[in-house]
Amino acid sequence: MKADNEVLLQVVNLEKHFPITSGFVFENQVGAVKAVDGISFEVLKGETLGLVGESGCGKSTLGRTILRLHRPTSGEVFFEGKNLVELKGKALRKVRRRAQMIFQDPYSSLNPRTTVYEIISEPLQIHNIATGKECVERVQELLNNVGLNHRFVNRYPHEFSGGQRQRIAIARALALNPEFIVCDEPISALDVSIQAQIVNLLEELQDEFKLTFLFIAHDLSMVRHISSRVAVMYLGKLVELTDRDQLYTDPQHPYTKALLSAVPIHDPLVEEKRRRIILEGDVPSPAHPPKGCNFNTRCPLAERKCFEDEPLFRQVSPDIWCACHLV
Amino acid sequence: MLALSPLQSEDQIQLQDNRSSNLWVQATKNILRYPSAVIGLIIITVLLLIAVAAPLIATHDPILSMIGVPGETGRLPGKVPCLPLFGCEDAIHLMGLDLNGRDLFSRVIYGTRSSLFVGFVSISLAIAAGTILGVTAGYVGGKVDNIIMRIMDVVLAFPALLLAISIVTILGPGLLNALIGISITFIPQYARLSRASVLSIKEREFIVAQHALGASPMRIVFNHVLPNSITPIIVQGTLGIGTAILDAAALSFLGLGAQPPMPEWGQILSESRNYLFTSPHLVFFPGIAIMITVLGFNLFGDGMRDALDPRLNRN
Repeated sequence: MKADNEVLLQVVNLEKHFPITSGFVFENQVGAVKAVDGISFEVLKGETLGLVGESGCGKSTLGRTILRLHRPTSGEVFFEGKNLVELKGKALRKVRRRAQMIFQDPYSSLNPRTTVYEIISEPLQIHNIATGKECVERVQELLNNVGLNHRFVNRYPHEFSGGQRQRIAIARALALNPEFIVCDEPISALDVSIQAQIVNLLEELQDEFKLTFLFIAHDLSMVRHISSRVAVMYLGKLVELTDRDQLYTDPQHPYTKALLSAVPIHDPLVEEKRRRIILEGDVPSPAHPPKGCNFNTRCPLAERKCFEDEPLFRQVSPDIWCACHLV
Repeated sequence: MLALSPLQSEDQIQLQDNRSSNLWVQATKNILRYPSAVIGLIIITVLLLIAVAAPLIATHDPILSMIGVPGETGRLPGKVPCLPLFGCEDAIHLMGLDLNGRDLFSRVIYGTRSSLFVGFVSISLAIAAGTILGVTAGYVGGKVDNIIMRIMDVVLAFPALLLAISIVTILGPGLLNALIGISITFIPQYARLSRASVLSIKEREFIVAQHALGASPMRIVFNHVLPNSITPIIVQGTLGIGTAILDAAALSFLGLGAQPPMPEWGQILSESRNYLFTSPHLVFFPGIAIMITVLGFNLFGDGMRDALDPRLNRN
């Protein structure tokens, strides 16, 4: 899928801390939830980078911070030669034509008071791309692209099923002809039978429009299906980033190993012999991450070093990036 | 997968392109399904017609005394205050004459004008001011939010009628000043309501999606936040008109609103309160008028609540 190794998006040391405040009228900051805590990676042109992790580990925040839907605390995001972190107002809105987002819940990502036509034509009007008849034709073309009947233009979102709504959301994201789309768990709110349809649609659209995806999910088998590379996130940090096949056959980081061992196997005989790594305890609060390695409270292999020094996210082999002292 | 039909010129679809009219067309269609709303709507429509056509409906001049004036039957009206068949010789006076010998029916009819005027105008002003403040507070947040809402809390801390009375005392008595006073007391309600719905709407994913699409803040507020938060405000406003009419009547009753001889329901009640036991009809008819008006707006407001929710659409 990645014909050339051209970098489309580069994230450098991105941090997003949500302040915890207390006090009435005069608020002062008493702490911070480190949702995204120093993340660096690259997304190559034309690839699908899967991003997996537990609930609350900061996956969605990372996706939204990259697109500047949250103001980053620090760090840089380079996209097509521009540093998105420094952009403001009009310049930022202009970049939005090139980078779009598909949301998790198609029931809340579409304005219930607007028709399908209004939803899909809105980006065209915001950026003055098409008006009048041209706009109508473009909307119908987009509806056909995502496999919806173009006669649906006058209907309201509540008249559609979850899968159809997600198609509408995809059509809206495609309207601006973006290069890069952050898919924020686009399938986790859907029925399993519909999930496959949407994933296949995304793959078809990727081939057709040469799209690059950052695909956020917690369904490991779905990520394996769609991604070319996979990044694993734990408590605001990346712990591993490797090739898809490499990750699924030979995971490096103990957290990745535990995560993958939780995937059920659809063969009862193999399933019986499957050895699961059961992690003890809960994920620490992102407001008070542990000293040293973030994973040291639950890691079965943790050594003394892990409680003292924070492991660097480093390239251990050409294709493997990992943040662990023991790798 | 859904069957794809190719784009054909002959089945080009007519687009309903008007965002707001669409909402209202839907609402009007829906509202007719709720019997209480229909009754409310009928009452309000009749009242509006009465207000507009007051000179045609009224049988007499509302501020002209009939004492010593022979009626169309040629007889003198008799001793005031009086009712037809109970002292009023001239049967043309439907609701009788008040203590000054003025035709009560005409006064009640003309009173519709001032009551509806105060109700609509004061609530419209309150909604306009309250929504602007509330949406600003909710959308901008932070210090702006804190400052606006604390001021609203202070206004809300005063009993509504007392606040209106003190405002009218400062501005001087009169129907217009009463209207201003009433509308100021209503502002915090709408500010709070609109702020609350903006807060819940602005975290929804479709607003985040608008940011992602590059929409400007103004566009987001006017096209997405307001249409989704206006419903409770409209409902509250419709219900509020009834309360505003009551407040206006109360202010007039206290002598701070409409000044004599202007025909206004509260003012008529005020003039007649000393005759409550000898001529109860003097308070009965304007009282009934106030009740019917408030009932109409309340019924209609309840129906609007259901009708403006697109999820309840059945077509």
